[in-house]
Amino acid sequence: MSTFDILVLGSTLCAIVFFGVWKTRNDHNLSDFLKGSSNHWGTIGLSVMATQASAITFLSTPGLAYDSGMAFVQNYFGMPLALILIAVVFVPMYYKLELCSVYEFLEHRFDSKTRTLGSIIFLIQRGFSAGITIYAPSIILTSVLGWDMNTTVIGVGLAVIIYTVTGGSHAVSLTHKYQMTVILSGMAVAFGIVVYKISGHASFTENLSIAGALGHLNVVDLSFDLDKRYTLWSGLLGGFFLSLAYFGTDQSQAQRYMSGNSTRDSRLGLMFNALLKVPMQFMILLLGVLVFVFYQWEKPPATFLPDATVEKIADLEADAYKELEEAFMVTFETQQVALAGYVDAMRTGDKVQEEISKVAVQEAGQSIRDARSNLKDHIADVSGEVSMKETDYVFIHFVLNELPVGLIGLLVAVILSAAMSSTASELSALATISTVDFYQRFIQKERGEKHYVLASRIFTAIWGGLAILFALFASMVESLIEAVNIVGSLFYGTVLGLFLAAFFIKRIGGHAAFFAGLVVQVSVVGLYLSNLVQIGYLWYNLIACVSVILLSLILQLFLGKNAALNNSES
Amino acid sequence: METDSKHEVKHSAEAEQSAGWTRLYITVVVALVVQIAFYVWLTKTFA
Repeated sequence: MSTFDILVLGSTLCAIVFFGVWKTRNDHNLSDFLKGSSNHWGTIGLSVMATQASAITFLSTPGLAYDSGMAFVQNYFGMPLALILIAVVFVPMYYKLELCSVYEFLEHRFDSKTRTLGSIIFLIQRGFSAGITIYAPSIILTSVLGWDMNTTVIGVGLAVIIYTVTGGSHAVSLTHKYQMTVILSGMAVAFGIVVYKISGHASFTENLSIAGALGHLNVVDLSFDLDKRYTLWSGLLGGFFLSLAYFGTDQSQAQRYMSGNSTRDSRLGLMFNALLKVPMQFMILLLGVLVFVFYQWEKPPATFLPDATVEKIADLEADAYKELEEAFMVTFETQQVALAGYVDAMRTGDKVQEEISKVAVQEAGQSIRDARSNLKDHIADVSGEVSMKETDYVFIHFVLNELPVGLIGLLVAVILSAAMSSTASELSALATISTVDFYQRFIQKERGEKHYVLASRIFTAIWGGLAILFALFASMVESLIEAVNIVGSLFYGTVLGLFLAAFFIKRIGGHAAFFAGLVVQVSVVGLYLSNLVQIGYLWYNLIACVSVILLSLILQLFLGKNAALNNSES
Repeated sequence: METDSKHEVKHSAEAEQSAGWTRLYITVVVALVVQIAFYVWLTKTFA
């Protein structure tokens, strides 16, 4: 990166951190620190969006689209429906009970041990995710920019810790506004540049036809195949339950929309996301597809893996590597000829010729994929690493090589802002749960507000430190964005089952809910790790949720009606 | 503390259900349906 890029990057990030600290320097109130009360719906909407959009969203998602098209957007189809249910049912109840921790609701409805179970599941799941949130962008940025991994992880982690410890949830909401501004403008600029670059070769529609011919505009899959990761039905059903769990029962999200002036602000903030999240995700994936089309026209590297990794491999098996690289370049040149023929056929309107040219493009595309795959296998064989996923490096490669000076700094700021925004929400939520659900209940019960603010600050710093440590010692997982979603899907279903039972099924009592939750959670994790059943991970949300409800109903039958009534009156 | 969750949920939900909110929720659902229809069209047209 040039000095100017570093200046843009540094000033953007420092301004956000400084702003967060400065605006909340006089906050000493526990409610402001934990809930950040009094936000307008616009701030809430952006804060909810910024919490969900981590750096992985902007690094990995375009790469996913580059590799396999746009089917991933179906994951989000159930989200607007889930947000409506949360706005109608969950939000009024949370406001009515004036909750700091959403798991307090489980105690109101069931009992103390069920609340503790919900809180523990949250701490395990979110604690793990916080580490990945810092680790994911760091591993990619350090490998392509040559930065030191430890310095990057510690730098990003400390920047977040500074304003989250100082201003708590209030600072998190305020900084989210500016982080989302940077993120959205950066992505819009990248989108504009890739459209401009491919427009020199063919019109926008022609480029879309090329993407479609190469199987990259497969947005919706209507099949009922349970084995497939993304279909319309898994997106609507699995996505609905995942979103219901994430937005309804995950403290890091609930804390964002509960920071409003009233239920009106919280609901409008949620509807803002219900309307904009799917199109935003679509545009990020389309950006990845357009980058794919760009590299059909312009010579791409034989592999997007970082130069340092590739050079090491190339040195070890120089002849074999060169041969595979040359084979790839030959397939690329064949594709150039096929593409020119396809565009000519589209322009003349000759349907027969268009079909023939399309097949030629598809065959050349398959040859490119094979050649790239051979090269990847070779790299994996020589390096001994089986899971070198190059899709995470595609977008950053495009940014570093195709964007003008200044904008590179802005786009790296986008990625780091996203990492900071989601980490900040996670740390703030982890600290809130640690303070309210554990420290205040079991360790120091009757202390003043100042004491608990201090405790929250200490917990924020501890969780931040743990996230940094995790990121420093984590090892590469296959695809970063999927890793986060898989972890979420393994834990969310159980907590959602507990919340749905609490909201809608009066006959279920505390003992039944607690033991059902415990058994289902252990079973789901065991089932996934044992690899006994091969299903798309989104289905775990639905399976665990339904299992908790059914098992608690069965247990309640054995425990009897009185047990349920006694529990709900505790 | 005595709570009757089902009753409270029903009461709170009903109290807040104004026509404006209903219109907004319907708009969100319609927007989703329109988007899915557009994506199906995109898939069919360019596949």
